[in-house]
Amino acid sequence: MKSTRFVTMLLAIVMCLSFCSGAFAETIKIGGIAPLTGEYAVYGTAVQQGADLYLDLINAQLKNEGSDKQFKIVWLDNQADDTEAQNAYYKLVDQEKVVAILGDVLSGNTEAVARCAADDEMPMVSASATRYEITTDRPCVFRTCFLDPFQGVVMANYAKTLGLAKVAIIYGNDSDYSIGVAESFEAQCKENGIEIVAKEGASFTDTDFSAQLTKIAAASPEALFVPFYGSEASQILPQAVSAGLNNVKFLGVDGTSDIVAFISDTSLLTNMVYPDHFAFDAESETIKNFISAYKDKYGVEPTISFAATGYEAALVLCNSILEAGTKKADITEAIKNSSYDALSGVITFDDHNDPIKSAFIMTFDAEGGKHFLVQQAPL
Amino acid sequence: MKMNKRFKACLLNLIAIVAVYFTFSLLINSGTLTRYHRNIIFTICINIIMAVSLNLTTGMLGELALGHAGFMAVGAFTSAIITKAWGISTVISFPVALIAGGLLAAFFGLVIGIPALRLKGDYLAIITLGFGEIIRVIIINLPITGATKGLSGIAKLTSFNYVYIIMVLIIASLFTLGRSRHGRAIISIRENDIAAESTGIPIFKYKLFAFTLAAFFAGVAGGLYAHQQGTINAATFDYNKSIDYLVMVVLGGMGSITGSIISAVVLSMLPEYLRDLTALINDLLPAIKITDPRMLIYSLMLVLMMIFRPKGLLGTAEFSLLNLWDFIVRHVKRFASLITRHLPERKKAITMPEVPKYDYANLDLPVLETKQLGIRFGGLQAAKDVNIKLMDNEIVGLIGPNGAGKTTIFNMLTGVYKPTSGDIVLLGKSIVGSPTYHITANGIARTFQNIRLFKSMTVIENIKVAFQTRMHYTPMEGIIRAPRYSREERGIDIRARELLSVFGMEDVADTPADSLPYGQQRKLEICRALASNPKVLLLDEPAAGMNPKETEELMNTIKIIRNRFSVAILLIEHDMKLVMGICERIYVLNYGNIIAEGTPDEIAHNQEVVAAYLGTAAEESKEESATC
Amino acid sequence: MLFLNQLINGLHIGSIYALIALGYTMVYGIVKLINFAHGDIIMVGAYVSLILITDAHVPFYLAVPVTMAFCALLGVLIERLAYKPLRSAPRISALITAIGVSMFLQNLAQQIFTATPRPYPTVFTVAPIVIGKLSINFLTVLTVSVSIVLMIALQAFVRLTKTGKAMRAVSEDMGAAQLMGINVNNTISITFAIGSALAAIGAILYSLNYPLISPTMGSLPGLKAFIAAVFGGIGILPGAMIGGFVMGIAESLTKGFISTQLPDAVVYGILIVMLLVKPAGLLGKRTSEKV
Repeated sequence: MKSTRFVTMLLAIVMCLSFCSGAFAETIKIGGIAPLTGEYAVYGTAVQQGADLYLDLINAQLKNEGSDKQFKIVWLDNQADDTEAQNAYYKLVDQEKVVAILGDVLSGNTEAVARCAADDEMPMVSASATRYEITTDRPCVFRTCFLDPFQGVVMANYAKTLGLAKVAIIYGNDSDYSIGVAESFEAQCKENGIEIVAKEGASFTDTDFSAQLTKIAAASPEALFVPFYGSEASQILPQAVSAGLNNVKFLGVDGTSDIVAFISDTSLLTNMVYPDHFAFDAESETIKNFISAYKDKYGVEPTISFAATGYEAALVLCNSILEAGTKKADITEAIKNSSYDALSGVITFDDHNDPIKSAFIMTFDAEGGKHFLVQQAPL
Repeated sequence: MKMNKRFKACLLNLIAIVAVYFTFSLLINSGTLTRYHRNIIFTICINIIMAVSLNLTTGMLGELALGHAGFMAVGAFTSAIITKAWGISTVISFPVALIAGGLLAAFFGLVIGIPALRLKGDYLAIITLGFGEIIRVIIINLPITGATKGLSGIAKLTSFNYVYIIMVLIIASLFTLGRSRHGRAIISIRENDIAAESTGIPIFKYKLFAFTLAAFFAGVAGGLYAHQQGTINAATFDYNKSIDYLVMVVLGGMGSITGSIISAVVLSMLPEYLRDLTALINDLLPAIKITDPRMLIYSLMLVLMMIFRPKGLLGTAEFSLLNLWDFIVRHVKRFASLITRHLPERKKAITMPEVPKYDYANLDLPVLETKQLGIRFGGLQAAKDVNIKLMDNEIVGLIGPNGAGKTTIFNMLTGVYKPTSGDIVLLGKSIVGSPTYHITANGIARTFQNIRLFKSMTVIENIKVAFQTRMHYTPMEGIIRAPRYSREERGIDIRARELLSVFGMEDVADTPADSLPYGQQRKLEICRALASNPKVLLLDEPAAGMNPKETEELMNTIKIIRNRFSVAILLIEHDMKLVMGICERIYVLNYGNIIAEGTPDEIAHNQEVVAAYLGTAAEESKEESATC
Repeated sequence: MLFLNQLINGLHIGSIYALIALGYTMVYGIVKLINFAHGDIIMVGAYVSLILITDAHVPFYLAVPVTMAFCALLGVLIERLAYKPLRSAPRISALITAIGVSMFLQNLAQQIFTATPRPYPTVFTVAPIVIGKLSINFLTVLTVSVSIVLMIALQAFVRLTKTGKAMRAVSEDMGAAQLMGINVNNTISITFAIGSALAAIGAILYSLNYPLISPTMGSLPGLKAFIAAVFGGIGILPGAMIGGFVMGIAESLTKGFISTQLPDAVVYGILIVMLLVKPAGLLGKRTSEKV
C-alpha cells in the first residue's frame, strides 16, 4: 500500500518535471525552403549557410541573456521545382507548425510559395527572389535582396559613369530574370543617352553563342551587357573575345557573381563589372565579423552574396519574432516596421515590401578575386 | 453466368471507388489529412491520369511518345487563361476550362500526330520529343501565357471532388474503350500492324485517334495541375517530366491500366520519402553530400525492369478486384453461396454483324481480275503483265519457284504495294491505289507466309478484330457502353464463336493466340481472314511447316471454307500434293511472268513448266521442308 | 562577310554534331538501336579527361588516348550489360533501356561530381588564323579537320578492313553473318567501342570549345547529333557527316539572320520535312518490312 503511493508520487514528480522542462526551452521553428540539391544548389546552399550562421549567433545570444527561447530553421529541399516547393511549404506549415518561412530562393519557385503564404497570411522573407511581382499585393511577403529592374538601372547608370556611348546586349530569351533586367537596362540607357547598338537573345540552355556574338561584334559596341548566371556568362565571355569583341567591357548582373567558379580563363574577368547585393571586401566592421564567423563555421569565405542576404533574412525574421511573438499578423507587422542593423547598414522595407538597399558594383582581378568598386544608392 | 460475373465485377469496382472517395473526403474534410497530404493526393491523381493516358499511346498502341508533358502544358495554360479571364462562377468556368484545355491539347495532338504518326518507333519517339520541346518554346514566347514568367495567381479550384471524379471517369473510359472494337483495333496495331491493316483496320486513323485522345486526357490533367499549383511555368513541362510519366507506364506494365495506376501511386509518393531519406543521410554523413537519388533509382529500375521483366509489373494483365474477391471468396466459403447465386438473366437485344452485300450478281464475270499487272522496284521488274482471273467459288493455285514474285502479287492485290502498271479489278471495280484496310473491307482477305497473329490477344479477340469493318458503334458509344455497343458486341461474340466452331477451335477461344500449336495458329489466321467476310481469300503458303497429317487436314479445311463461305480462294503453295489435290486451276509464275495456266492435269503435263519448274521445284520443296 | 562568319560558326558547331553523329550512326547501323546514352558517354569522357588533366596532371596528348580507352570500355560494358539481353526484345523495350542508361549515367555523375558545372582547362592558346578580313579561330580549324579526318578514316576502316566488313555484314543480317562464321557479339562490342572512343574525342573537342562541363552536358549535343544522323540517313557514315554540318549551319544561320528563338524549331522542322519526304533520310535507302 505504502509503496504504491510512493511510486505514484514519484511518477507525478517525473511527469511534472518533464512537462516543465518542455515549457522551459521554447524552440521557435522557422521553415526554410531552398534548392539544396541539383543544378541550383549553389544558390540555395548560400542562403542556407548564411541563415544558419545568424541562427547560431542569435541562439548563443539568447542563451547568454538567459532567455528560454531558441530558434530553429527546418530546411526542406525543393529541387528547384514548383510542386516540390509547394509541398515543402505545406509540410512546414501544417506538419512542422513553423511560425514563418525563410525562402524560397529562385524567383519562379518563390512565386509558387509566396502565393500559398499570401493565402495563409504566413510571414515570409526571401533572401534572393529578385522578380518584381513576388511581393506585389502580398502584405506578408518580404525580401532582403534588391530587384531585377533596380539592377538594370544601376548598371545603365554605371555605364554612363564609365563614359560608354555604344552598348550591346545579349540576354536569355527563355528567362524572365534576364529579359526583365535587360529591359530596365535598355530603358535606362536610352534615358542616359547611351546607344544600344545590338540586342540579341539566346537560350539559357545554349552553349554556343557565337552566332549572336558575331552579329554583335559587327555592330562594334564598347560594352556588352550580359544578364546571365555565372555558368552561361563564363561561356559567353571567351566566345565574345573569339568573335572579335576584344576590348569591350562586360556588364553583368547579380547572378553573374559566381562566374569565377566556372570560367577557365580568369583574366577575362578583369573586364567585367557586376552589381552585387553585398561587397565582401567593403571596409566595414560588421562585414568583417560576418566573414570571419562564416569562415569559422564553414571553413571557406562566402563566394555568393546570397549568403549575406540569407543572413539578413534570418536576422529580420528572428528579431521580428522576438519583438512581436509568434502570431502571424504580429510578425508581419514587425517585419514591415523593422529597422534592424544588418550587414549593409540598417534594413528597412518600402511600401512594396522590398528592402531599401544599395547595390555594390564589383569587379575581379586576374585571379578571379572580387573587388568592390563603388556603391550605388537606392533609387 | 457470364453476365452475372461482369455485374459482380462492376459492383465491386463501384463499391471500391465510392469507398475510397468517402474515406478520403472524410479524412480531408475532418482535417486529419493536412494540406500537405492533400496536395500529394492531388498530385497522385493527376499523375495517374497522365500515366494511364500515356499508356494509351505507349502501352496499348505500342508507340513510344516522349512529349506527353507538352500536351499537359497546353491544357494547363489554356485552362488557366480561361479561368483567369472569365469572371463568372467557377462552378461553370472551371469545368469548361478543363474541357477547353483538353480540347486544345487534343488539337495539338492531332496537328502533331498527322505528320509524326506516319513514322514509327525510334523516329516517332524523336519527333514527339521534338514537338514536346517546341510546344514549350511556343509557350515561353507567347505573351498570353505569361512568356517566361508563366502564369501566376490562378485560382486554386482543384478540389478532391474534381480530381477524383475526373480521374475515375478517365480510367473507366479507358477501360471500356479498351474492351470495345476500337480498343481491340488499337491493340491489334501494337501486336502486328501489317496484319491489323490486312484485317481491315485503318491503322493510321486509329493511331491518330489514340494519340489525340491521350493528348486530350493529358490536357485535362494539365488543367487540374494548373489549378492545384496556382502558378505554372513552361519550364516545368520539359522532357524530364515526360520521362517521369514514361517511367510510370513502363514500370506498371505497358498496356496495363491498373499497372499504371499502381506505379503512379508509388512513384508519386516515393519522392516524399526519398527527400527525408536524403536529408537524413546528409545529416548523418556530412562528408558525402548526396543529391536526391530519385532519378538514379528510376533509371536503374527502368533498365532492370526491361531486362528482367520487360512487360513491367503487371505486363498487359489487369489487376482485378473481382479476381481478388473470388480469391477471398474461395477461402471463405460461407459467403460464397450468397455471392455466386444466379441472378435471373434478362433477354438481351442482339445485333448480328451484317453480311456485306456485294452488289455483284454476274457470276460469269471473274470476282477478281488483274490486267497487265506489273511492278518495278528500282531496276528490278518484280512482276510483269500478270493476268489472273478468279471466278466465284473457285480454288486457284499460284505456284512458282522462290523469288518468282508470288507474294509480291499478293501484296499488290491487298494494296501493300502499289503496282507500277496494270489494273486490279475486284467485283467489277478497280482497287488500284486503295489502302489495304479499304480493300479488305471490300472483299479481299489474306493470310501471311510467316504467321502474323495478334499474339497477346486471345483467340476470340483475334477474330473479333476482323469483325471491325462490320460494326458501327462509335468510340463514345464504346466508352459509355451504349445499347448499340452491347447489341453489336453480343452479336459478334456469337458469330466469332460460331466461326471458331467451324474450325473446331471453340475450346481454345479464350486462350492467348501465341500459346496455340503451330497448326492451330495457321488455322486461326485463316479463320481471322474469313471473319471479315471476304469474297476472295488469299492464302500465302498455308501448308508451310506442316506435317503431312496437318496438310491433309488443311486440304479438307480449305474445301470446307469454299463450300461454306462461298469465297474464291487464291493460294500460294509449294506443297504440290496440296496444290494438285484441291486447286481447280493453277497459274505458274516465273521471274514475274505467268508462264503457264491450266488445270492441275494440264500443268503437270505442260512441258515448259515441267522443264522449267516442276522438276526442280519438287526437289526444292523437299529441300525446303528439310531445312524448315 | 557576316554571312561567311555565320557559315564558319555553323561549320564549327556542325562538325562537333557530325563527330558525335558518327558514333550514333555506327551503333544504329549495327544493332538498330538509338543509343540515347551516347550523349552521356560524351559527358563521361569530358569528366574523365578533366580529371586526368587538372587533378592527375596527365599531359594532354596522353589524356586523349586514356579517355578514349575509358569511354570505349564503358560503351562495351553498357552494351554487354544493358543492351545485349534485349537484342531480340521489342524495339520499344530496347529504346526505353537506352533512355534508362542515359538517365542513369547523368544521375550517377550528379551524385559523384554534383550538379554544379566545372570549368575545363584551356589547352591550346594559338592565335586565330587571319585570312584577309576573316579571322578563324584555331579551335574551329582543329574541330572541323579532326572530324573530317575521322570520318574518312572510319569510312576506310568499314570498307577495307576485315573487321569493318564483319560490321557491315552484321548490320545487314545478324543471323546470316553468324552462319558465315562472324563472331556477332565481338563485332557488336567493337562497334560500341569505336563509337564510344569517337564520343571521347567528341567530348574533348566539345569541352575545349565550350569549357564548362556538367552532368547534363551530353544530352543536348547528343540529341542534335542524333537528329543529324537521322537527317543524313541513319546507319550511313557520310550521311551523319552531312547531317551534322546541315544542322550546325541551319542553327547558326537561323540565329544570325532569322530569330534567336527559333533554331530548335528550325532544326526539328528540317528533320520532320526530311522524314516525310524521304523517310530513310538524305542518303538512306528505304527498306520496308518483308510481308
